[in-house]
Amino acid sequence: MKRIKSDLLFQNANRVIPTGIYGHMAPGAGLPLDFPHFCSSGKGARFTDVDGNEWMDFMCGFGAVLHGYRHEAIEQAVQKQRELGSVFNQPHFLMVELAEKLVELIDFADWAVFAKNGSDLTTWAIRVAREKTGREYIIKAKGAYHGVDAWCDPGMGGRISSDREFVLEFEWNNLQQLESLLVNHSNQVAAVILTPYHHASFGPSELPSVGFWKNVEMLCKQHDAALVLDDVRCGWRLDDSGSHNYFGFCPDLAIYSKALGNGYAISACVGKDKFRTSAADVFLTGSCWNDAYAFSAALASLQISRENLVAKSVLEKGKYFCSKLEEVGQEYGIKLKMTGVPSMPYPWIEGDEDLYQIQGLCKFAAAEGLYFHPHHNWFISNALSYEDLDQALFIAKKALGKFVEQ
Amino acid sequence: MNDLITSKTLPLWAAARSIYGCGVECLSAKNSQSLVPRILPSGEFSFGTSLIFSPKSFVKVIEGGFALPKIRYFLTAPTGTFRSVINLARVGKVYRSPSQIKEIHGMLNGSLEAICCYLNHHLVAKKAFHDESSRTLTFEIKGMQRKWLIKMDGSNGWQVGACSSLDRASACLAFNDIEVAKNAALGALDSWLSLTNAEIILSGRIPLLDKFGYVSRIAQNEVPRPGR
Repeated sequence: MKRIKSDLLFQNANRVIPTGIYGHMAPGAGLPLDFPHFCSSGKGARFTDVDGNEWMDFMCGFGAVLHGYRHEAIEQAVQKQRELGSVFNQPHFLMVELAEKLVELIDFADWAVFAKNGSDLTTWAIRVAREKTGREYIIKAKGAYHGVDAWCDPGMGGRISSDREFVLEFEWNNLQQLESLLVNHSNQVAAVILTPYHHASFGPSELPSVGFWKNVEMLCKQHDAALVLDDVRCGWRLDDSGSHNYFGFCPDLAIYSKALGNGYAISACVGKDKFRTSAADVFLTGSCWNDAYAFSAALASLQISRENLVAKSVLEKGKYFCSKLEEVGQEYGIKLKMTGVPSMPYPWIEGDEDLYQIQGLCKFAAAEGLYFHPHHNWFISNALSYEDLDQALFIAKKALGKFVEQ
Repeated sequence: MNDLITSKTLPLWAAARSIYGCGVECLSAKNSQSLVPRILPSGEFSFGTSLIFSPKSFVKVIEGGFALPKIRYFLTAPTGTFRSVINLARVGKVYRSPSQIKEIHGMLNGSLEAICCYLNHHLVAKKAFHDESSRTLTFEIKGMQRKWLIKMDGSNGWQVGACSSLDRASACLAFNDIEVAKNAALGALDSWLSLTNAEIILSGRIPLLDKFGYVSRIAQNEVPRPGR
């Protein structure tokens, strides 16, 4: 892969931006010598980097794109809104339309609010739970990602000791630990915040064990703690009406982002009626949060998801791709297991606790133009056709062969 | 002695261990022994058996100025004290202008010693590495056999030592050549850029290296170095 402009741009970036590129897209978090640093365009399930290399994509902007880059119907909706404007003194009327759509789609939702990023609303939601319960503690799963705020971010800098004073953790699927925390902090826990399944980076994803969600729901009810679903990453990839339906439980509050706007920045929090007053009392605003472009993109995106049963589609495509890729691995004696749900699989090689093998494999895949991330769950774009998947499998086989040879 | 290492004394303790770590690589075994550091209950820093500095004098020594050690040992144990003084000066020279490979190895070893002090005694670093005690890190220079291994060694805490080329750690940092390693040890390497131009290659458990990088930046900010 040619990489000249990418490197030059990174040098420039590094002069004017701390670390050049930060967060989950920082070169060090992926494959700094194999992935491009900057992109220039994308269409469907492929993107082009600044050096003109075309990549078949299995990351979808880290989940922010579900229907493919520059999806025609979504771009048309946004273009229509561009002629009218984006941010005004008052919210655009599309905000109401979008809230109504979410309340209609999501069975437990009685209201919705909007922001730009998942973090905006995971943090806001736990404040709503605190306001409602008058309690301080929050319980989360160890290693789970809920955003960039000090109570939960995975970094190390800029913290003070009180940031996590009221955050408790339990091991995913360990109901006994969760119950102990609730009992030991009786009448002090405001909320339990969880993702639909455990999709931490740098390790295999873990699905909820049988009865996990029903028990979590019951424990939250018993202890009067709000059950907050962080559906930012999974939302619209497991079920077209919220991932709680996929696993069969009912949260009190849920947060969505990423796929909701198909690349346009928007997040939403929906909740039950009993949280409405508390929601009203926790201040919420942002400079460009009433962005009509994003509202129009989200409305179009939701419509496509509904009409084309997109969650079902990406689950099926993912299942096809994952099982075939595991077979290819077996052919070469690599115990590759695609963990988690098939629409956002995490690749795990048995015995590769320190990730050397998956890093090697993804390097060879990158050399062939496949964007396979070694440390993060992948995302299956609905723009990938079965022909695309077969092509990706063919290339992956070639890459695996080279990897094994090495 | 652990009780004597506080947030106030840690930077100088790390500097003292770094000097010793450098000496181990660059000097004979006998000479490096003359640089074994201790913190005394009085808050002073000693090297070997008899060279003692107040914290203020020690900072001056590190930063290249002239500082008087406690004079009485020059009279009661002149040979040992003199050996420590000479060896301290030798290590100081290495830090100012490393040129030979073993000197660069010495600086790297010294840097890793200093970071280990932070892993063992700095509150934030200890917390960050609390769950990592079963994991190990290696550091290597491409094309060279010498490798460094950082691992938890029971009650001794995190320690840096040699490792064989067969050892595969949880995470590995490889310098592309000796010059890159030298710049890294001098704190003159842009770590973000060096990741993208293959001066530094990271592999294995990246979050462990992230944490290590964070702790090393804390140490780099706090530990006095020659010429600073």
